[in-house]
Amino acid sequence: MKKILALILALVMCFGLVACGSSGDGGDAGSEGGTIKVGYVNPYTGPLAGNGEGCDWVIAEIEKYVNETMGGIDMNGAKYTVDVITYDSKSDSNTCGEMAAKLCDEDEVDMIIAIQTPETVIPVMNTAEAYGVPCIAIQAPVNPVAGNLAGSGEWTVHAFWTIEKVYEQYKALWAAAGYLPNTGAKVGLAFANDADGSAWYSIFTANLEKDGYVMVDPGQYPSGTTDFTNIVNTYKDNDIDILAGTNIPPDFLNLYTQVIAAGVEVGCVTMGKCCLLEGDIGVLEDKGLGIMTEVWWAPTNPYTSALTGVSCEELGAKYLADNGRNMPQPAGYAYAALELAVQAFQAAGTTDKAAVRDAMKALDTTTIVGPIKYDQTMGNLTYSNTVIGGGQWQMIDGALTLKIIDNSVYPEVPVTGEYVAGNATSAQ
Amino acid sequence: MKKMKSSNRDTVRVFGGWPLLIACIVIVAVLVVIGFVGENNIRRILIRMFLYCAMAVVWNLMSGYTGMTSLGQQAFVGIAGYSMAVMTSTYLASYWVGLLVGGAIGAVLALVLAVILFRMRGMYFAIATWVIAEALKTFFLSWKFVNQGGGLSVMGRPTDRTIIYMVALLICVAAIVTVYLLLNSKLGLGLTAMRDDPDAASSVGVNIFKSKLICFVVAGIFTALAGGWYFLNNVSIYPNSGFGNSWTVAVVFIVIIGGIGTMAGPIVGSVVYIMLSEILADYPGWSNIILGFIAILVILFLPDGIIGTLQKKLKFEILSQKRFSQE
Repeated sequence: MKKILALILALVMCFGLVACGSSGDGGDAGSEGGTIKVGYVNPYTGPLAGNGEGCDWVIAEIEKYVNETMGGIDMNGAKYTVDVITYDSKSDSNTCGEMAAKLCDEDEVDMIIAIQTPETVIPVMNTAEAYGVPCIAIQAPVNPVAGNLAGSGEWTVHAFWTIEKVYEQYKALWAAAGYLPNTGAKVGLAFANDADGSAWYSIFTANLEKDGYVMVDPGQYPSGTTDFTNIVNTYKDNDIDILAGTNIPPDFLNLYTQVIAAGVEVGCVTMGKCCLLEGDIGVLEDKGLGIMTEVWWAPTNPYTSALTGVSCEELGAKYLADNGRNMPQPAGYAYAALELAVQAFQAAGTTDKAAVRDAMKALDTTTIVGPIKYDQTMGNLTYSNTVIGGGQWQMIDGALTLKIIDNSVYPEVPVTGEYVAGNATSAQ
Repeated sequence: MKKMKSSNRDTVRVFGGWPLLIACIVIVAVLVVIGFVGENNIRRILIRMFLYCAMAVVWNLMSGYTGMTSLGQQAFVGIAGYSMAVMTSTYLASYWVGLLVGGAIGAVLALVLAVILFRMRGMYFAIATWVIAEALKTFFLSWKFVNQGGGLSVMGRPTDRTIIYMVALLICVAAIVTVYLLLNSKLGLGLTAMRDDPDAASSVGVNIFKSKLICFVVAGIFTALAGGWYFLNNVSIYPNSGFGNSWTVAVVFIVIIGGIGTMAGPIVGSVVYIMLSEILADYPGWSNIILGFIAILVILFLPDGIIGTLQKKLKFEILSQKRFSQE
């Protein structure tokens, strides 16, 4: 028995060696074979897996539209199909870099999509810069992405909001809850010291004092912290009015549970990153009620894809019909990234990387997440601002639903509800 | 190849001497040629293989030969990765400076840690190394000079990837040669005795502290050099990626698969590990499960690893540090 198992193991490993040796030939269809290859590193597993939800559905939708409805992308009279090649980032930045390099060398992709949080966007973007492959980066705050761009930015364009914009949005949410600037409202900070947290922290702390809020700053903490006793005590001792920060879901769950258990009553909770998805807010159960967050995309947004002609409402309805749940915000950005990729190839009319890069930088279009025009710069990074709204999780028909209650930063984003006072800290 | 008698009176075939040296030179020469003319994808895979192999070979020196099972080698990887990033992005120095500073800090860190760690043995040593690596991660997460958890990017990566390939190969070969020479020196004789029974080894004149220190520092230097070069190639570093325990998991997997306590084991293990990780990348969500399953199978049915089992079954030794008598 042992010998048989050992033999099986040896065969598995031999198969591994042979299969790996031949895997490099898999991408030879290349642009010569009439296929445009787009690389996509997605967090299928790990703490960011929730953000990667819907990626495969979106890819299938775009591939189906381009390859079947459009019959391919026209390039000098020849039709090119689009093949999106995905790898799992495991929510790990080392793996992101390794998979991006694999896409460049093994799959010889014509373009790379860098998506999700700064920790996953930056390594993919930097690898694309090093390999000279056009890169559409999206869905990570502009500030940390620009700050960590390793190359000259020659091959990368980015689209998302800046942290200054999200601060303005949060300020509007605080005002909606009755905490106006210059009234001495006390803001308890809750920022992890990861890439997102550090970038948010520096902008928020710089602006809060200027706007007449009183900062209650217990200091940043390592992501993965489970004991928030000191931080919660700081909030309690200072009698905070607002709890504000950005966290991954497990960190916020621990923090907020301990805030509630300690009897800290907060008038307004605004939290980034961890309260965007139904899956994440569902983990909080009733504690999610009343939490406010930024909204990057919603099926109610007024945009129609210039590529597919699909509106936000239609896309959201199709996702719901196919998957049985509402389309998550990151899936909207995944759709937009692929729209931009296809339009860059259409505009370039070739798979030549320099031409695609130039076409990509010159894009001026409307995607499912709104207008995109790469006319802004931060450091070496060329980027486009995307819209943002202010949302609140409200109980509608027995289910927590994200309603857009403020559009003061981008008035074109429709409001879908009104502010409702109260949250889990005041309901105890 | 010679037939020799081992200490337990078994006759074994020993691959060594000039034929082995010539074979090694040919293999390295082929790898050098691949560095100049090989496909980019082959070179990419080999770069990863070289760097993981270097880390595994020195981890095997510590765990397989001296009984110092470290679960905190990621401390050296992270320190060197950050050295590379800080030198190139903050001080705008060359990556050569970043590499050397990383190696030097790795050596100093090993010397300093030795004072604390060498008071412990067995699982206490293993846990202490892990705790130190975790403490360093937490420190870097809060250290503003390195942008806290925001990470850093390595600047000035060479545009010619042949340089990255050749240096990775050099680090790997240097690690293997250094460990081989160490094991075949007078020091090497005492190492396995020290692993099996430190007190008995000490009583027959093995300088335990000196032997351990040399192994620990050598391991620290090569792990740091490989780690620093990895992050030059991968460009971005964060506390969780530099000091993550996935480094130790990978190295332990490589050594166990290949054969702990054998020179060729980590080399074969790194080839298997990298090939598996390349293939399993096509199966999102399954890769870690399959790797774990393979590790369990190997531990259960091939506890000596691939090379260890082959050596036992086929009665041969390759790159061995053992002393044999002529038949």
